[in-house]
Amino acid sequence: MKEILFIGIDIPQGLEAMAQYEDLRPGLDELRSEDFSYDDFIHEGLSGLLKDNNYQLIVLPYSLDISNYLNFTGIRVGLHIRLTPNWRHQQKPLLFLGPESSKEIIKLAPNAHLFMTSGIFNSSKNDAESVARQIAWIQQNKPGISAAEYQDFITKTHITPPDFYDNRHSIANEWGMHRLDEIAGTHLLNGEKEASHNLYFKYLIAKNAHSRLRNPAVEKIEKQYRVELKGLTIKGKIDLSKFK
Amino acid sequence: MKKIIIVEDRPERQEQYIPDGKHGVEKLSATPGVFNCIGQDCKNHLDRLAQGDFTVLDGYDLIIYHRSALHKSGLVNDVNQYCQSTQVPLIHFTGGESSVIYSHSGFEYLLISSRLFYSSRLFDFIDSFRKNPTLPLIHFAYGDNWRLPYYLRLRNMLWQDQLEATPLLPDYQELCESIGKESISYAELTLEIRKMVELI
Repeated sequence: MKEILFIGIDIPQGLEAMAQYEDLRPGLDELRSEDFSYDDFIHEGLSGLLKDNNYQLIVLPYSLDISNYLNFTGIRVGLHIRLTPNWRHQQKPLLFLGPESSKEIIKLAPNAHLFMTSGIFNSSKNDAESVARQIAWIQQNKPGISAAEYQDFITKTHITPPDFYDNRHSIANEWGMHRLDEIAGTHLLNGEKEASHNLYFKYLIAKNAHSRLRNPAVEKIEKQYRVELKGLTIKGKIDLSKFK
Repeated sequence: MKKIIIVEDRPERQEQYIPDGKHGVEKLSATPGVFNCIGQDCKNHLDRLAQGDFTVLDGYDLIIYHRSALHKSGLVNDVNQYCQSTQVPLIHFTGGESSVIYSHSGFEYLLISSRLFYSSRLFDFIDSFRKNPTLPLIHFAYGDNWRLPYYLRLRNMLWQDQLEATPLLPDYQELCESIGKESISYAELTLEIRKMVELI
């Protein structure tokens, strides 16, 4: 089992035995394809890898984008890792490597607030010895973030909704549908990949944690009537393709 | 006069996002050289494309589509191929992706969000493009800072590969050409980036 995952950045010499490499960079044809979405690409690229492994540290660049560095897609990947519970790496340390200064990141990156939170490290050193030293330091001193630190991350995080929402009502409608499906236990939307891939929805789900809304006593009663509940039927104007 | 076609299947969104709403749409439709293809014109245009008649795109120097309008008809790849064979630059705008995607490999392509497309930059870009049709499409997204993503990527390449002494990779040379240079050093890149970042 490899301990460290390097995403889009070469594994330095000497760390090959303990590290695994994942490219996660879309090709130009893929970028120009008819329904390309970075959130889908990141989600599909990392789901199997992270669900099936238990990395102690993830190393990545600020940008994985060959078409436009200013998208800072590496930081978006970091947010997906923090906001996707099924991947089981939400509280693992992330190390960003690149020549960028903190000022550049703060002024240029759309989601620079990630660097204000615990368990996020960065370095502009690119020699194998320095990287190995920093990795060893993180593993020894900050192998993960606590529940309180994770809550602080949620408080400091702000993800803007995608443009396809015409207004706040359409966000509320889709969020309401998602939450109803979850609370009712019908899970009809689990098969709708678009909803669960979208970073904004991942953020809403994490911010409005399911556990805080549900009473264990009520859950017990639910089990009795859920078998009677055939499930929700999706009708009307709710367009799930908008999650793409 | 350079000609531009803008194909939008949801005119109400155009009115919602464009500066000055209805007046902005009227201004866009009245801009010389611009065909604002909405309503019945849009329907006819997409019908002809669906029948394989791509002559409706002939004569334009810049082609702009709402991506979903093409996606619904399964025409995205066909229009990409048309632009590749004619070397006409293509802009897609969409509500489904907030990133700015840019490529000039094969043909020049830009994907931006609907919100950015229907911003005050639209009229500035149309004006600049008509004066200088070789203006890179990425200028739409970043204005005078359009070289910044190139500088950042070049510096990252040099940082990763420690190539300062022998910058010979094809990608490096292609990127240098994109910013009108034969080569550029790590120190020069850092200086250019610092100057731009200070002013942002």
